[in-house]
Amino acid sequence: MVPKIKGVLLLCLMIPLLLLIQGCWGSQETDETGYILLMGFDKGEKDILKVTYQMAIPHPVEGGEAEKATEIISVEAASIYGAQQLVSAFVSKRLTLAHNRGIIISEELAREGLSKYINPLVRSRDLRRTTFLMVVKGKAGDFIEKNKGLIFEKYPSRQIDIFMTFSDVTGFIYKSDIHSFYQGLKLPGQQAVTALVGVQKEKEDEDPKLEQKKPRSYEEKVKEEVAYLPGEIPRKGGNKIELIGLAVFKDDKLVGFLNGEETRYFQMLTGDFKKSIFSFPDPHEPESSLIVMEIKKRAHPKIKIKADEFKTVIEVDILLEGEILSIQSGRNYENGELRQELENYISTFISQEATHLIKKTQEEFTSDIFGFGEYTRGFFWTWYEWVNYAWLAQYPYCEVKVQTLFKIRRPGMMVKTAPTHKY
Amino acid sequence: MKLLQQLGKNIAKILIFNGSKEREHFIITDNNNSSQGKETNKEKETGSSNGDGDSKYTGNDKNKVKGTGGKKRKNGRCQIKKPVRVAKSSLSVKEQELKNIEEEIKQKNFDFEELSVNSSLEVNKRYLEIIYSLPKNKDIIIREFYIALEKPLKAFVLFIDGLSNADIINNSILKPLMVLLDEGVKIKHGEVAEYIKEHLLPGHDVKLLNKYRQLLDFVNYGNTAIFIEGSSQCLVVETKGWERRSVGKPEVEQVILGPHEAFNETLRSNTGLIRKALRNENLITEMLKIGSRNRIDVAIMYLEDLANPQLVEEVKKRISSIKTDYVGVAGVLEQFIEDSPFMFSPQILTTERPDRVVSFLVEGHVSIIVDGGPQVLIVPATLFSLMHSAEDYYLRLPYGNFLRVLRIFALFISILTPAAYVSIVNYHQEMIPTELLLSIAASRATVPFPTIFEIFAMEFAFELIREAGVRVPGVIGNTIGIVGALILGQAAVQAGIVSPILIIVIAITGLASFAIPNFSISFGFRGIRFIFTILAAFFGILGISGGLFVLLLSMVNMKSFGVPFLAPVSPKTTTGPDVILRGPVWSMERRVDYLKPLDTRRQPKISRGWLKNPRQGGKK
Amino acid sequence: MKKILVGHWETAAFVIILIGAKAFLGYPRMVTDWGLTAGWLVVLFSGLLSIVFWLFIAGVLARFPGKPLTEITELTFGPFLGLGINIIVFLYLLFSTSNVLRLFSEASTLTVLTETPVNILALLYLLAAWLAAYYGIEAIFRCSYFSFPLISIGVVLVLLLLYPYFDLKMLFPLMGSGMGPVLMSSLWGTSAFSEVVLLTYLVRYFSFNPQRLKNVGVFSISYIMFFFIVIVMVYQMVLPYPTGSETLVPFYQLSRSIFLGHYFQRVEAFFVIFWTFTAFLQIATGLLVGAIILQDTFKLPFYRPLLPALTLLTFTTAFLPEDLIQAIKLEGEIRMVYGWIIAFILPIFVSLVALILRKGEDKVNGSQN
Repeated sequence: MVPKIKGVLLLCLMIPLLLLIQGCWGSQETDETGYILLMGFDKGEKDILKVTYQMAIPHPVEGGEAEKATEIISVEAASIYGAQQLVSAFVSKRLTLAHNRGIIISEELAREGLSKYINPLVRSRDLRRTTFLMVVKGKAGDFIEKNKGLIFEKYPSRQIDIFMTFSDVTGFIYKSDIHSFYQGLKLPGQQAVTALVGVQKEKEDEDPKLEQKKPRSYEEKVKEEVAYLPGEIPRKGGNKIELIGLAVFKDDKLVGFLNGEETRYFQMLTGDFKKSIFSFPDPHEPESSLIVMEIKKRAHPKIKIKADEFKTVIEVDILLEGEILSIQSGRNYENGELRQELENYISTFISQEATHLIKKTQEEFTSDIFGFGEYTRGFFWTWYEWVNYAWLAQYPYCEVKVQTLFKIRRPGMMVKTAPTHKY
Repeated sequence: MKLLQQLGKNIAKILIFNGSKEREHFIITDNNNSSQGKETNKEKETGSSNGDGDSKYTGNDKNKVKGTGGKKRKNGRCQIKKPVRVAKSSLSVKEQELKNIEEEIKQKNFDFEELSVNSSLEVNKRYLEIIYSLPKNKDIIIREFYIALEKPLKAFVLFIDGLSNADIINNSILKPLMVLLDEGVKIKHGEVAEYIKEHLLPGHDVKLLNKYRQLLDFVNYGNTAIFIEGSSQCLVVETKGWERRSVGKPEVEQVILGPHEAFNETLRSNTGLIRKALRNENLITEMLKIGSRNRIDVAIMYLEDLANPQLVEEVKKRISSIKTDYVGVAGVLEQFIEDSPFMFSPQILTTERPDRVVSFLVEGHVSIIVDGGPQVLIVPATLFSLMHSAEDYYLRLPYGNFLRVLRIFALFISILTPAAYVSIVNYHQEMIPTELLLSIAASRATVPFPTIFEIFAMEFAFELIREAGVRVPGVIGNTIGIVGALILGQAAVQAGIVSPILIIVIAITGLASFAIPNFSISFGFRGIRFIFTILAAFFGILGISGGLFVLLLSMVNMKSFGVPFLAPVSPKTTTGPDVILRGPVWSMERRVDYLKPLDTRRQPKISRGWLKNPRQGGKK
Repeated sequence: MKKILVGHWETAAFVIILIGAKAFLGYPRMVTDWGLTAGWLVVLFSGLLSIVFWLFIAGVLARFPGKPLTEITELTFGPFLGLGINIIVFLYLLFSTSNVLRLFSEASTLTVLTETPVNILALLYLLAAWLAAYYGIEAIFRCSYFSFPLISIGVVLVLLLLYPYFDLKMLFPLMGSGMGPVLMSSLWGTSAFSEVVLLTYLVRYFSFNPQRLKNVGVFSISYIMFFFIVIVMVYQMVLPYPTGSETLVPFYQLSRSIFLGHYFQRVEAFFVIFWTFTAFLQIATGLLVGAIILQDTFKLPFYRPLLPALTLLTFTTAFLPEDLIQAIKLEGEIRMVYGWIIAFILPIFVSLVALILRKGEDKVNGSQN
């Protein structure tokens, strides 16, 4: 027994010794590593690609002011990995994309076609497919630099996470990650979209030659409450960046934008919509008062595609339910006939807007971002037949019928409103 | 070739312990050769009268009281202890007789095992003087007296002061024989000793012996031997009484709800504690003797109609085949009889609570009680029985299961936490949330050492504090240990040597290892933790995985007295619902199968007779 | 030498882990390549087909109670041809084990430890496997039995945590590449389940009769088939066809996509423990069964002395392919496509010949059992 133990012990001793001679591979101490939190791609001025990194600077535990929590580096190179490598020439850390939370791509680059950038990102070991992907109206470098959070938000990764969770709460930002974008690029039944972000327009940026928009009526103002593209929200304060809207792609090129309002309807049609707050002009007083409803998704939209030789019809049933938040006119919309009227009004309103949106994608973008093509899978037995069907080419010529079924579930905290006295 | 052999032998001599060399080391006087043993012995013994007590403890002297005789030993070392008596004056007849007997003793090689009581009191006394090295040995008292018969009979008692109860000797032996006898009691010829035992001696446990080996074992244990002139048998009366610790609280295994009695160092009170809880005629206590120099008793207790006879046989075989000179504590015995001494985990359960022993006996295990310490060994033991504590059963079902689940977490935490820390911080930095990672990075920015060094330094410091805390007298030892560790850690953080997250990791690991009830196995896990940390430092999470694999392999391979260590999970055997989580008490119907007890059913299917619903056990 | 016997639960666990380790390597991707969106259908058919093969083989084993397949081959074909067939089987097993070793080491290098050289990782796997094989059959069987519920739980956890990404539509069109290709690939796909035949070489160590063995085999194949179907379905729902056939290590990619909120993301390193554990077990069993087959073929008294040589042989064979793509090709295009011939058809051939030549034991001695 004893010689056997000795032999085993010798073997066990030899291995660690051998390893010690070589050293341990791949062991990366935390003070040698630079953690990138946000990454942005621009078209380079001196080179092909300009990459902007926002690197985190860990702070000592004892405190001190959180002056500079991140360092923004930008470098120009031919490829993403080349840029990452070049940084080690002037930053004494080895960059890792493991904690990267978002990738921001500039409009210019997106219009040229994104598959040559997305393919390497998908292959990457560090980066995950759950990283958020955003297209910025303007330059990515600008976006990253101007992103200054509130006083306790040191790191933008958390910020972006929180912003993206708002897609469940407000609906006018879409939680797009590399995974969903990649599916949109490759699957023959849908097209890709990403969230749209931008930077608040400074007064200097406004082109004085641009004609003033014509003043909008009350109704229009109400209807277009959130219909902004990023950078256009009339506001002051807060972060300089804005996340609202959707970037529409056809194949891999950017073809257009959807504003906040349209993004909400887009999410309703794909089933990602959770809830949002809508304002409608009051059906009885469209010029002077409005109704605010919190609308939630009741169930997944029922999408049926009926195809025969001559035409294809897309039928969508959107199922929603709502809670009354504000009735400015004080009418008793909570009950009875008025309620029925309100429900019908809102249903028609939403159906119209949704149809409008679908037509816009058919005519202006010719891109099926909703993924209706996936519902035609069931018509075929084999994959090849389905690919031959080429839904995406047929999409612009389909007929669309959208129906909304909307029910008011709760009237809020009040059952009716007593009239204000007029003396 | 020969050169290589020679070289090999030399290396072997250096590396391998060579017994003969060591034995010579014990000889204190110098210029000695083992080959000249005979003469040197003589020199020593006729030499100075003081300080030659050393000569008794030379290695050459081994066979004096051991009684294995000098038969098997080689000539160079085998020595007959020559008794040296200074006065060699002219001898009377009696003394001549005695001298003859002495010569006999010399020539007979003093076969101790076979020596029996002589009818002559003087000869017995002489024997005893030789054996006990009287009058130098002040503990042994020989009190001569006359038994008050019609014709007074000379006798003496032999006992060891300090081990025997003087009151009993006075009142139950000396008084009745010396004072209380009626005048005129006649003893017929023949067995004086037997007559005295049956009629005259009011001791509750009296034996008649005539072999010295046996009766001296008894005298050494506190009994009293009565030698009577003319009788070739000797009476041994039970008179044990020495200072002992009373039955106290358990020091290591404390429970909140449950008995607070623990074993103490006396075999008889320990067996008594078990007997009082398990009042069954089938409870058998078998005694074995162990250790050739200290010859203490080892009691094996089991239930005759329950325990597997093969298991009992195996236990007895293992214990009686141990040849060593001193086994004083149960821990040493455990190391002699366990299956795999080099494994990290014990294969025998040690406990100091009688209620635990009783619950194991009722399942069919065998318990081994060693005189001299409060630990009782239970064989066989599986990993699951090592991880259970008594409290799980005494508490209600939800609380007991909660404790069990907590303990499993504690097990994994105590093995894996430092390794997980090292592997995450060095290799898999993406696993932890960004803010936590950045604060770890911030706190590590000022630390000059790599992570692995930090961990080893803090672990080492923690183990030092723990050991030091054990030596600190008083109950607060352990508390000082943990608090001291935290304060040390805090100071180290302030000095910038370690990062604060590390302190938390080490503290949690230490606490988790305390949550494991069995001390030996938690010690084993302490050692394993270091190995895991090294593996994780080299191979990241792959190292942890490999370490877990090898750990599982070694545990699966271990056997404890024929029972696989991971039974009843690993070879799947039927058992009651008590492996990881505990079932309710009324559903524990079967005994564990891996012991193959003689009776597998503990309780009938319906054990709660008071329930109304007959299906759940109520009356029909 | 004391006879080592293992029970039927442990055998089932052993086979399940042996077959299941594939799911962590490249099997979902291969299946997606063959069946496109009907990958799970391919798995279903190959599973059923393997059950049919297995029933036939195990049925013949019942005619030679207590004898492993090596002996039956020799009895049927005579010493020389039988030796040849056994050697072929051994070589196939060696090839399969070295492939697995190479692929697992490469996968570990790619995913978990990027800078450790492949040969060090392979050495690590092999050393642990050698230790396991040295401890013997009991140790490996019991280890598999102990760890297989834990590994199942890990896999199920990964699959459940991907719930937000499930998209049932991706499983359509139902027939994928068409009925013909699906059926053809199911035939090759039985190579995935071919490890169940290894049970027939270990008959001497089982404590149950051949009837039980048949049930054990059927149970393990169906259990693992169910698991494979679920894994492949989830894989196709989360990473549908065109993108699904791109990934190198599908399961790892699945666990990477887990995102349940800010605090529970990027946890794939935790799931690495599960599949590396399976890797250790798989390689250990490969070594062990190879040694046992050699022992039975050459009628050696012990198999342990063969282990060091076998380890070295596996190591060198593992590094014969020059790069990872070649190794993947070896596994996917050669072993998967032709392996079933050696694994299933050969034993069936042997049993057919045995049937025809009436070499069954119970014909001669009906009471021997």
